[in-house]
Amino acid sequence: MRQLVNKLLNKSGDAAKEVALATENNVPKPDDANKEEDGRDVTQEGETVTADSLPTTEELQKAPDTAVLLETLISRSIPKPEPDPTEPYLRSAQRCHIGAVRGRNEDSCLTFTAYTGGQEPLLPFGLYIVADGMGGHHAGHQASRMASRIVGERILTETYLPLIQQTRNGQAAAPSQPIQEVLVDAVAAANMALRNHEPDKDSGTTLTAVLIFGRRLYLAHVGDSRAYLLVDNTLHLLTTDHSYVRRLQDVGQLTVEEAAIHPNRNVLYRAVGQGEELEIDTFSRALPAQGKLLLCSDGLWGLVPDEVMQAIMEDARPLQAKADQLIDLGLQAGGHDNITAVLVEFSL
Amino acid sequence: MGGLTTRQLPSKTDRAKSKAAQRGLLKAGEMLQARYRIIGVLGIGGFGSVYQARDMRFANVTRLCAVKEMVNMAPDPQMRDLAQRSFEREASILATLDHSAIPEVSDFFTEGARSYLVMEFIRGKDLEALLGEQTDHFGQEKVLDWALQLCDVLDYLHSHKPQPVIFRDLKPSNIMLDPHGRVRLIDFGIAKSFQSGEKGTMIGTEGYSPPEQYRGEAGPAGDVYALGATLHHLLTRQDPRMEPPFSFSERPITAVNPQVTAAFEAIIMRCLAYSASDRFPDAAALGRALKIITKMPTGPVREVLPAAESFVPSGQRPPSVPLTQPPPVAAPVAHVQESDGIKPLWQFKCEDEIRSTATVANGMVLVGAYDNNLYAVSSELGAFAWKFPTEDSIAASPCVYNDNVYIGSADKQLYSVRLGLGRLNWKYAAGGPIYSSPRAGFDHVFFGSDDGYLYAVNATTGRLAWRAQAHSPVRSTPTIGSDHIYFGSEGGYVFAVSLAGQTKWQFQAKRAVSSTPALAEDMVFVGSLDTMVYALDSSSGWAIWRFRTQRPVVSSPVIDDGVLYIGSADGNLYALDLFSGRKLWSFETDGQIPGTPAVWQNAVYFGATDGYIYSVSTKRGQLRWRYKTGGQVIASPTIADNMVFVGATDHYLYAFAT
Repeated sequence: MRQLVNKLLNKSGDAAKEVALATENNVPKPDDANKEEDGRDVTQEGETVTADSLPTTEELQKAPDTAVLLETLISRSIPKPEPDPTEPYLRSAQRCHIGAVRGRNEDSCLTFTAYTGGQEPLLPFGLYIVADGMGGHHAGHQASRMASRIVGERILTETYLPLIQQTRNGQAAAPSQPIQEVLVDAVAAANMALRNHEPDKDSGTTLTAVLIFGRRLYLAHVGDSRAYLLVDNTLHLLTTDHSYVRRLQDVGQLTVEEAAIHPNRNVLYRAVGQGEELEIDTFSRALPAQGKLLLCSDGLWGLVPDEVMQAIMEDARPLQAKADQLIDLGLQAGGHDNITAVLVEFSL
Repeated sequence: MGGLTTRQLPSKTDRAKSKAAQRGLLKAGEMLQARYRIIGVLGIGGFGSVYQARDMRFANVTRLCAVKEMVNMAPDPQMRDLAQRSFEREASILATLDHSAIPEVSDFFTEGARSYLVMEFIRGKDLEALLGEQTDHFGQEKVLDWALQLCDVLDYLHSHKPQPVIFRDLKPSNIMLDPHGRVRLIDFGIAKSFQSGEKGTMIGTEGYSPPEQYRGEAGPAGDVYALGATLHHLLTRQDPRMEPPFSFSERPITAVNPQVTAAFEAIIMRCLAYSASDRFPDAAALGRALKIITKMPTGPVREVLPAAESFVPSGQRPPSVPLTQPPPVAAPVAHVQESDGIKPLWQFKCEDEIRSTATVANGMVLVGAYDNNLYAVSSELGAFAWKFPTEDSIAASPCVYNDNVYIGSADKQLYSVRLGLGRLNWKYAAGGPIYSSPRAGFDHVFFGSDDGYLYAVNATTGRLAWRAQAHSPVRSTPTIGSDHIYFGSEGGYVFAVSLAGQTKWQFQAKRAVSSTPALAEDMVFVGSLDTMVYALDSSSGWAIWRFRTQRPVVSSPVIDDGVLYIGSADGNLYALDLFSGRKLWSFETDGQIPGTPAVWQNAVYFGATDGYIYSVSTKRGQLRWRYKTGGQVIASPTIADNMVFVGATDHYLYAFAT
């Protein structure tokens, strides 16, 4: 696994150093956590990347083995001691990057991790949303921004606000509807809002939302952004891509390799804002005591192999450094799309 | 559509194109070639518009024609040339075709960047419009007739010389029905003269196009697929553009439209095989298969099963949905073993109604009756072993723990009785009648009472460990999880309390929860008198999903292999997907189903107030057998030693073989 990472990461000499530095620069930046509110690029100064300066995938693949690099990369950042293992926690780090080629960031993300301390703390609560807008010359960025925020607002109103509401008996109030219905209603509301906002425009967006409360994960999903759950060294893909190539793979008419290079691999058959009726995938599953979660747009998973993403998730470095590294890998592999990664770690 | 760089939905490209085409629509009254006077727009297509026009050469009569326009907007001269050539090719192909279902081409010409094709104007409606007007399903006979006509014209195209013509975009909106009921094909825009092995571009309509078209391949079997997709749409009214691509095999026609015969369905499903080589090779082969059906009786599905089999290559559909079986509806009673067919192994008579569910342990069946007694009979023969009298009726069910039997009674007391002899160990008095059945674990017995408490009593000594206040009667039987106890209350709450009696969470339904919770996958499942079945997260008490039945749910869920089975007062037994709450099937009885179903080896057993005990297959809810008792069946069946035990209000306890 490590070798795969090396393969992708390593380029000879200078470029590799540049990556290392860039990553290092990004390590201590806790302020970034909620910075990209509008889903725009947060590329930092001194880190500007252009398409020309980046190695192509082919170059990366035939690059000589410089296995030391990853070790260096990882050992440079000293692992911080884990917090008290008996205390439940939920942490997140994210980055929503314009990529190396596009003129606009059509990805959006929204993360919300809530913590209550004191005598009777609430169970950990987190909401994580990635949306990838479409309609290049139209308003893809607006679609993903609107959808992620409408869904965020709806879900928080129905689930989190009751929790902190002061009720008469002092008990936290429960959502008034089953979560599956809350999720479907939230995404349906975003769908209607996009339709009503600019009915003539062809914009739409993918949307993957994960809600964590107690020992359970709830998911709503439309499109081809993805959510992965890492448990006991196994990476589980929680979502189904609503793309033609995925369906063709499912029915045995396309291999994984063919799908990866298919000219129509970006064509979706389901997206938010594209029709009156929208079928929304929802899903819930119990969570193990410890695990990690990754939400990302296809700007990441389309370029960085699952094994590499897993290796980075498993690494012991700070969460933000890992989110940054995922983006860097996407950029190095061409960065021809916007790239979003939301990383979550939990101990419940 | 090659070379898309941004993510997009297919509809987007169509809309973008039509917008381009809208630029500079011809207006009514405009003349083309000083001969065709535009009347109006018939449609806006992918690359241009179609107009209705009048041929002014026939000045004295109104001769209408359809004028198809192609706007050549390619910026690059080479591309422009290519587009022009493709238009001319379409025109020349059409001009050589001679079939009653293909509109006749009379003229074609180019004016500047626009090229025009003049065709026969066809009166009538296309099948998509007809589908929209229809409120019910089209009948098989009608659709079969259209299918045969379409096969005829497709066969004509597929056997065209020198090269076969592939229509490539067959769908209801491209099929016109003229006033004589004859089918006519329109929009040959993408019809492709087929050169074997040649890669084309991806054109076609999402939902109707075969998988190989996404690899740029087009052949006769592709038209067969699109025809299959069209027939599926016509018969099911499920628009394939609204469904996941290539999902026809997951949506059997007869599940939606039971009038369709298995043979017709099998033929359509073969058209829709993923792999072109698994389909009918061309329209002629498909037509031959369809003709066989026209000679078949259209009676019950079963009669044509053997014939249907021959059309179905194996492995085309997931084995979980056998192609030749009818959809999950209850089988007609005539096919089922009635009371005379199935007989109890034995029956044992009590002195009053049995509403209590039997418990089996050490070869003994234990059951409470309204005659105040707890009975023990041998499971093999139904021979009386002993009875233990309480001071009021027993509605609750006994539980056995460490060779002791625990039973609650309406006399407010919980009894511990030795299993072997029926002698009393101890009794514990609660503050109200006990209708909740005790459950034992962790050396304690847990039960609810109408006094509004859940009790935890030491199983050996009968001493109270704790009681948890529920503020309303607890008739639900507690369920013991790994570290919590779950139960419902008549006040409409579901509680999770720790083994020490501390409330972890509570969930509020809209009416009483008398049902016993079931646990699986870190979820708590329960029914309520508010007509719902709920799935709750066991860590937080949040509802994950709910399923609405028509009447209150007193029945308790039972879970087997990812499926939840529960009865309702609406008379149905429901099988629900554990994770989504989606209904898999339901089985209708003539009474209410208050008891808990029992699952054993692919069958689910339950009783109903219509007096029957039912055995239904778990897979599709088909009746296996039923037995009519002399009263109502309120109790739940218990399965042990390959036998089913259940009591009824006719005072009898019955034993059946599974």
